[in-house]
Amino acid sequence: MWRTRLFDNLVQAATWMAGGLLILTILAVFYYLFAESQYAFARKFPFGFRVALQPLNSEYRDDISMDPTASLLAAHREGSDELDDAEDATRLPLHEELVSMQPLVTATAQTADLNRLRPDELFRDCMRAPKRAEQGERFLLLAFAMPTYNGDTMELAWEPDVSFDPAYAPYEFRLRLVRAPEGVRIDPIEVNLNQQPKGRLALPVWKAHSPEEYLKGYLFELEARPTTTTTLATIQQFLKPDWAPTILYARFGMLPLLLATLLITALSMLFATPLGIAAAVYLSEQASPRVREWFKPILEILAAIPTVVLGYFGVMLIAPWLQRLFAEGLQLTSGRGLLATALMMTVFILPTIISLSEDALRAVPNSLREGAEALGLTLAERIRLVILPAAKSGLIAALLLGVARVMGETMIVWILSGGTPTMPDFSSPTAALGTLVKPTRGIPDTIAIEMGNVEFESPHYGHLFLLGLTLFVLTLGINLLGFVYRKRAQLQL
Amino acid sequence: MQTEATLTGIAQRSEWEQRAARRDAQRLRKNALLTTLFGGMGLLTTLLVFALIAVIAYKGAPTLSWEFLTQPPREGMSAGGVWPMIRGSLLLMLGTFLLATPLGIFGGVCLAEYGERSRIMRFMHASVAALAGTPPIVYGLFGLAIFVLKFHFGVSLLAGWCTLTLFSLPVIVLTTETALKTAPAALIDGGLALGLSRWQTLWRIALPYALSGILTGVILSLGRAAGEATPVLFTASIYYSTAQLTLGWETLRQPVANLPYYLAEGYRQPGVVPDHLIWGACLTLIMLVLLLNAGAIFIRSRTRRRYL
Amino acid sequence: MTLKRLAIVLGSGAALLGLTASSWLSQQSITIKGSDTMLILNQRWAEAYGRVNPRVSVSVTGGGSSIGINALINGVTDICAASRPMRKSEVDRARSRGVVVNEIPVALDGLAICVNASNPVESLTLDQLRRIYIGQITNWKQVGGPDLPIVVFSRDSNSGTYGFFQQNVLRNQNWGRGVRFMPSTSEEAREVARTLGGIGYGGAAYFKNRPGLKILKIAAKEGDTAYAPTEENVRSRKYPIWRYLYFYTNGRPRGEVANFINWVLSKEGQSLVEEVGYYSLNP
Repeated sequence: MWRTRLFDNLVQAATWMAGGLLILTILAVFYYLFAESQYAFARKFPFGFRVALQPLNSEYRDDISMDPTASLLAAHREGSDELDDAEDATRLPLHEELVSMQPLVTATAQTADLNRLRPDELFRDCMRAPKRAEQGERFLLLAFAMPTYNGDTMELAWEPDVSFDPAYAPYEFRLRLVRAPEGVRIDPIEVNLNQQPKGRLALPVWKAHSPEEYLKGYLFELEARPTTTTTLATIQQFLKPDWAPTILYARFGMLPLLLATLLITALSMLFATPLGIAAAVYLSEQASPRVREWFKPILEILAAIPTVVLGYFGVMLIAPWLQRLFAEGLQLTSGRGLLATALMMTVFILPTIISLSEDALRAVPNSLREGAEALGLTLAERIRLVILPAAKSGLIAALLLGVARVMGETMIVWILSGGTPTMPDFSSPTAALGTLVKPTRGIPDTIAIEMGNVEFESPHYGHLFLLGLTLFVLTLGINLLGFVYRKRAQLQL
Repeated sequence: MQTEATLTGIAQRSEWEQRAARRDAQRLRKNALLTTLFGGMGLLTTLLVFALIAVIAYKGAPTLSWEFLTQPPREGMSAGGVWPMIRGSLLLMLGTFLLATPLGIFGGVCLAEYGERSRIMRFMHASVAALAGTPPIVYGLFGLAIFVLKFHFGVSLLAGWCTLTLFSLPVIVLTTETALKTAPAALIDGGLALGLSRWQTLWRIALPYALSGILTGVILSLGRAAGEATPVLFTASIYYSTAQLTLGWETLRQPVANLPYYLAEGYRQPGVVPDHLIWGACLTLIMLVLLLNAGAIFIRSRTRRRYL
Repeated sequence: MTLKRLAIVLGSGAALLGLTASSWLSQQSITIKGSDTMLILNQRWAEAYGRVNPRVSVSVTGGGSSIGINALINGVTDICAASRPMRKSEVDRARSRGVVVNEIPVALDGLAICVNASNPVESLTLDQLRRIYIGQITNWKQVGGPDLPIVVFSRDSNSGTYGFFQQNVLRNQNWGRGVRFMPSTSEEAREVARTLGGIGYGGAAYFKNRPGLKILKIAAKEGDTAYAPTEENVRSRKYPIWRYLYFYTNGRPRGEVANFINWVLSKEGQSLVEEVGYYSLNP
């Protein structure tokens, strides 16, 4: 007797421990996804503008980045706050060289302090390390003509550095004239670079005859003024439409990834829902028990095919076929894309949807079926008018579970999506078709592809966890909704 | 007058009847159409499965040989077999099975027994249901953050076991719970009437009754875990090793090669592993998973015969 | 009864594990972890070293340079393979954990640029190439060729060469709007061969002796001599698009790890580098 009791107590203890462990796991998943996402909020925001002084008919009018005399005022990861480390900062050539080379000059100082300007510490480029959103940044820019310049007017031209977009920095950028040279009368200048990222302004010429006079020329200031906190800025940036984490001016906009994941899900559910529910109806209402007996294992086999294999199947057989189909009109370079992914996703999700829907349909009590049959309804009518409405909650639960599974499936998207983040475009039929068949990239495969090559505990790493968290929250919501519907179905019947 | 009325009545009726007959014919046509459609979908799914399996078998079968299944890869992965990957997949599954089964069953018992009682348990029930549908990549991330980095397991078999256990646990818990709930009330009541404690009833009567359902669930979720590459991508995988079969406590700290990762890496490094080896590995992985499924189906059919 | 059977299954599983545990052999092992770019190279080295020195086993894992670097910092790998130099912040983190980072270049990687064979352009500067890929130059006449729009091909972001090219040629700027991303280098070569204004990049081995393709000479700066990506030129660093592939160890390698690295740097080890399509450090 005591042995049984001891055994019972042991079992009870083990059960409680398992329950506790489960709760712990759930909390830990949440906690760690949150905790690792914190690194995303340690992010710093890079920016960069090119500014040049040009003659009125400059050959580089349209493209300042081609202008060899342009200065770069930038804060990005190659920059540094200490002069010694700034190997990339190009020193301003000596006075004699300048006179012979370039008649119009801009120069930057590593310091933003007006009183510490020195003529022998001027640079072509001023690259600083990026800062958190709360911290602003101030660059000083000197502009002057060399005595060799012949003309009365010169133009100050500016544009964002290549692949920098002011919309991806949480700052208000202002280009301001701090001080005009002595003897030059000019209205105050203040340009908002967010509104006018690219532009030019005419200035009266002022010539510097010696290195000391460099400091007495036009003095401009480019100020990046904080508009929001780092946390808010990180979230805002996360919702923007461009994912390019490895470029100098990193962009962490997950919108294209999210939309691709949602589109893939929508498309594959579009294919799988009618197919799946119809097959489930057949199984539960029409098929003989023998057929059903055979069908269940077949479904399980389909459900058991590893997703890597499905991905390979798609990439070796479906994608080439799609490419041939659309190659002429759209110049497809490969068949990988949204459609191929959605097709294989349909195959992936079909067995789950069928077997869950079938469970839901079979849960409808037989009395309902018999009643409907007694009323003389045909099978199709019974299904449409009685059984499907009765099984509605269960069917919705089945579909929701399918949605969650598709949303998080990684290997199929990784192998078949083509790997290029693109914003979906449905503005015209051709564009829509292009969106469907051209490469794209979803959330789960982005995590899988990029996790191996990020620096751990860096903002990029944090953003991948943020992506994981987004996915987790999305699927969690859908799963909970499915759970509620399943409960409701159980209560109804 | 009367005859006339009768006559029109008959005429009316026949018209009504005709309409009814037309509508019935329409209904029957619609019925036939829809039922054929439903049956067609079922057939289509079946065909799909067979087509998939047939294509993969057709492409992979020529590669499958004793050498392919028992030799390590050679000549820069372009020849030889996939034995280390099979071995690794089996090892991962074995450990996951050993960890996840008791945990999952006890957890399921816990849910079935207390599932509706307290707020905590209801929260747990909902969360387990939600975790069951959580994407494998999230488990991969979590495994990386907690087992690999926080617990300093490193990328290792141990971390892979833990991650895969977490991945398959919710499904096992839920199947256990459902299976326990299907135990007939008469059996439970009988047990209680005989003076058994709640736990004894549960443990001695309900659990043995539900065991086949539970085992099926365990095996199916294990099959899913075996085929899933993403949970082990960052936590347990290795590409190639010249190491002998060195199994010991050391092994727990070492990563293992496995089939899903081999396939994933084969995709990432195009042209290195030739197509026929990829198809062969695909087929091997499917066979491995199907073998498990066959086990599940076998268990189910046997117990069904015993109880029904 | 059935419960007992379950216990038996579980127990025998555990026993099986224990049994295999007892068959543990004492074998020296070296682990290499890191770069996916170097995965195949490392695998070749491991396979060949297994024949040279069967006493020592070598295990190779990919995952990415960062995974490898992190493993080195956490002390769970003997060698970290990386296709990029360690960043300053990573070196700092390693130092704070007591890991002394030791860098050993083990091979050279160079990328060749190819155009359609009918294209009269013979050479480009690095800067022109960058402008082509970021979309600033869109016509061959802007670089001294015929009036023909440039069709830009690239590898897709899954590949290591993508990152290499973005870092070394694009200098981390964003790809132009019209760049077409191809799933493999051979498909890229095929497309360039059939597109008149096409341009693409990849390992020189893929483009050599392929009909319809021409490998461009590249100059580091305007005014410099342009060089073709021959072994000689890459090895002498005259050809500008190259990078080192590294091994990192904690401190100076000792024992078997040192033997292995010495073998890798030896003539025999380096001969495998060429087979995989990279350039060996010394002829």
